[in-house]
Amino acid sequence: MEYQDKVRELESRVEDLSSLIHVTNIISSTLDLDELLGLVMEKAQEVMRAEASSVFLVNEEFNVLECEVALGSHGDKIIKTIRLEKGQGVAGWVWQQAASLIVPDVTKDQRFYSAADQQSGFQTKSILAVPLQNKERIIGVAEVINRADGNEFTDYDLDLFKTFCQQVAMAIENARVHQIELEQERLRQQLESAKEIQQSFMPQKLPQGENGIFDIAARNLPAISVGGDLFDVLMLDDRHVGILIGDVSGKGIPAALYMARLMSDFRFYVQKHRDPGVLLDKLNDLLVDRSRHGMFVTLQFAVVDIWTGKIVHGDAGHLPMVHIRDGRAEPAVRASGAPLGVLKSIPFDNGIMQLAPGDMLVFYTDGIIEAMNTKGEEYSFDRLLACLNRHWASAGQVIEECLKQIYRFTKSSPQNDDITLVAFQWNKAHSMS
Amino acid sequence: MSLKISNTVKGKTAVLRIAGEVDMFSSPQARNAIMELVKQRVPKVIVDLGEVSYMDSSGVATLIEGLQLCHKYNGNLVVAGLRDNVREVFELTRLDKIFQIFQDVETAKANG
Repeated sequence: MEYQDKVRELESRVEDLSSLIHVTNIISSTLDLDELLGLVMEKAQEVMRAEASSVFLVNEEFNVLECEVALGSHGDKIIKTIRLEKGQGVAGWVWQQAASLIVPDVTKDQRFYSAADQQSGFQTKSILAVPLQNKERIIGVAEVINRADGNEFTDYDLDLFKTFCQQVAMAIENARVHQIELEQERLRQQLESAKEIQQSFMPQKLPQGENGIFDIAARNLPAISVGGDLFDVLMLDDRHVGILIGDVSGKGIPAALYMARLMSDFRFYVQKHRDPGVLLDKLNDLLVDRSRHGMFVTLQFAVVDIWTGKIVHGDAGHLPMVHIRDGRAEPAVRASGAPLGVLKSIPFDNGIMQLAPGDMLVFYTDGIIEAMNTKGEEYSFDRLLACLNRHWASAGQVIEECLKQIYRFTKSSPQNDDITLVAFQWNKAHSMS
Repeated sequence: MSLKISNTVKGKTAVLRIAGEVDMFSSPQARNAIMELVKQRVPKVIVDLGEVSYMDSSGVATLIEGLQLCHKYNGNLVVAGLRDNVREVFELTRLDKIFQIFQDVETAKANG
């Protein structure tokens, strides 16, 4: 008899071992966390010959244990509705102590949390609970409840369940890594879409001066991550052209949304207020009122009278325009003003310039002067000025040549910030005849 | 790279010392430190940037957010000890019109 008992025991252990191997197969069969936990715990319950089983996972945001899977006749009634604090209930105790626990009779153990039974109608008699550990970190707790034969859980059961739970913990981590990768891919695709949407807010076609009275060209190159550069060029009436360039602080979706809303505000307000100082003041009030997380924007807005070459411009903390006359490039005198969206009641005074025929104005964003080469050096304002310091045939030539120089400097290494350039050339005074 | 941040609150004034490069990766750390003082509604927050070797627009945005929140409870946030390159960023973007900038923490304590 003794011999036959041993054979039976060995046979049972071989069965347990093959169940463990089966669990490994389950783990490699799916990366869906819910499906995986369901399948694995079903197997655990079978191997442990238990009436019910459950898995709690640590919710790090709220620092609680949440029931993810509850199998057994009443399990569906408690999934996700049970939340345990550290130290609360048997699972909470296992989490807090980072130790396994056999509770042979829950009625004699004060750690037992009876609310789950009251909710589900299930009657818990004994519990075997094991922490799910990934390296040193506890990521959850697994339990099997009530041995089907009515006996207490043994040390052998504990060892077997521990081995089982090591696999479960590993599987949870695999599934989570997979979920993170999926999420990253989804975000990448969303960023791509955001980039395209953002581009559509910029003018697709620029106004051109009749009879070559002016020439304008622009380019916006979005960075790897969505940035907040913006520009606009529009005819305000038949003799005034408005040129806007700006840079929203920060990157990513918040900057893109901020920029998109600002563009529509600009197009609305510029119909009423074409005076740059007044327009910047109006936009500033609007942006301060809805300011979030310290976001701000630097803007430059210039209105050119194409008949006379007179420019009225306003500056909200944006980089100075470059003025090119007779092949000499110099920073234009800035108008006073600070970035928009920070404080109300900042004065925005207008600056006034007079262009001569052939003069060129170049507007740009900090993505140009901060474009970095492989040595970590920035392109810098001085290099931009040196690049612009010559005679130009057209606005388009300025853009092409500047970008070529920047690429040469950065050796086409990917840039973290948007690059925006607008070049405007005034060619001649309007003939009144 | 992470920042080294420490603060001392004495009476109505807090001095927040930041050391390192404040960029889009490290600015959340500076933001948390500022938020902590804002939560306590400290009337005057002096941000010591003496050990800040670089600051980009996300760092500036962090300071601006702090300034706006301080203003909401009639407090103030000022900056002190800016190195030349950081001062240039402030001047170029005209942030010197928005922030009170002091030579050092002691001057900031005595004024503003």
